[in-house]
Amino acid sequence: MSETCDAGAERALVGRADERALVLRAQDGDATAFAGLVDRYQGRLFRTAYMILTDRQDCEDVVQETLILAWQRLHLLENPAAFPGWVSQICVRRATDVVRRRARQRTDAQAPEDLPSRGALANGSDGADTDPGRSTEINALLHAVAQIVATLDPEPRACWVLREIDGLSYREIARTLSLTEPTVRGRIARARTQIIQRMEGWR
Amino acid sequence: MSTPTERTAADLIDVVTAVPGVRGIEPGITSTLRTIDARIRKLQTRRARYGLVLDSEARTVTVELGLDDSRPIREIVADTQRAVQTALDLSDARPMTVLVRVQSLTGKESRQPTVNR
Amino acid sequence: MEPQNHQPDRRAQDVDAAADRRYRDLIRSVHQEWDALEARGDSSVQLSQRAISSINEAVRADARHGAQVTMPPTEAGPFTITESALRALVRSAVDSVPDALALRSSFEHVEDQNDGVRVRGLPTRVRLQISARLGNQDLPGLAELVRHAVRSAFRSNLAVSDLIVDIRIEDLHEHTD
Repeated sequence: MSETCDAGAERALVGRADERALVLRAQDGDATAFAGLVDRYQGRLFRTAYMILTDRQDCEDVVQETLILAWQRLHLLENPAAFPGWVSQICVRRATDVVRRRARQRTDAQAPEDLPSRGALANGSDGADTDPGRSTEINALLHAVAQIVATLDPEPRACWVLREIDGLSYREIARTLSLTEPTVRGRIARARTQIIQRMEGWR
Repeated sequence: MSTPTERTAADLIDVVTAVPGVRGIEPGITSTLRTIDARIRKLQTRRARYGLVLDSEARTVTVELGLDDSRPIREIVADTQRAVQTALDLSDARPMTVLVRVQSLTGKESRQPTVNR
Repeated sequence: MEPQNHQPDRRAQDVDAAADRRYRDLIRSVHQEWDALEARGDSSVQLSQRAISSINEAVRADARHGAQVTMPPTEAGPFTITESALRALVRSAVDSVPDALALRSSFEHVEDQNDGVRVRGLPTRVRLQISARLGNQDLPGLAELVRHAVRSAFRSNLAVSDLIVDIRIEDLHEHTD
């Protein structure tokens, strides 16, 4: 059997396979199955990373790292069904590390006048800084919201993103970030309040 | 205070591929991850390319190679390590650790069984 | 400036239902926008093709190579070798013995954890499956030659001296020159 025949048959199998099967095969060493997981998760992880990091290049790097680390550590995942939360955890932790490190390098938190104006939401213009090296722009609304979220401290930000963007339960978030559930609830409540206040500041 | 020799990863790759027995740089997961990390952290002290990571703060170089079977593996690896150290370290008192990761080994093809048994 | 506090914000209790509704609408819009962009295959909300290829190449290479195996360091520094390169070394040693052909090999190692990433310790035992030439009258003798060749290769290439070599002759083949 030629190698091309093998690869084609394998790809066809991967197309039909449910996600649990992909994870199991990837754990067995099947790089094609893992490529299937990369395909399914890269957009989701990018979304999560973006709401934490807001810089496109940083997101690309963090998501790349996340997926490669996931491959390396896949043998540590005992329950294949837990893959979504598990890979999200790697991503959020890494993105939060980056944010924390950058925050230490800056002396002030983002000042209120740096927040996007409501106009940015209304006419779709990007009120935030533009990096000439950035090749494509994220949608203006998403960018504006991400900028608000960026004013949160790293820990509440991570909790909020896992809840509002990833849709994880409080229990899953607690497990993901090694916190207690009450702590998670408290942080998310405070984060929501802060976000609402900044939104209301536009009116 | 002495400063580390200014060598780029690209220079070192040339040095390494010139060692007899080295087929070439063969990027692996280690250097891929360190390259991305260096980019995120905008590290001045780490120069990374796929296949070779130079961390002047940690005083280590990690290089990922494919070898051929022209010489014993240990000899090729030791020559590579010495070549890198020589290229890097003329003025600095603190030595660099050169970690070699042998990714693959190729040589003459093995005999294959015939069809009739 | 947002006060750093551990008490529930008083104003949280006063946030009116309308503001809360606007917040919910905003979150919903975010998801709708994002889903729409993703459904259109918009490149701004996903990894570039280059990044995806880079991941898959790293993963494929790693799958091919297997785990890193720690080796005794040279005089000039430490090194590791992949499982697949070790197997290549074994095949080369077995094939160098007349009448022998390497099939498959597997190793046992001293366990060596590193960061939760699998790194194997020094190999302690190798199990070989080989094929012998049909007509060879002395299979135990052949096995002994193969054992010697493999141990010798590990000693001279890797400075690994205590390797236990188990050999199973699985097959007999015709050997043509």
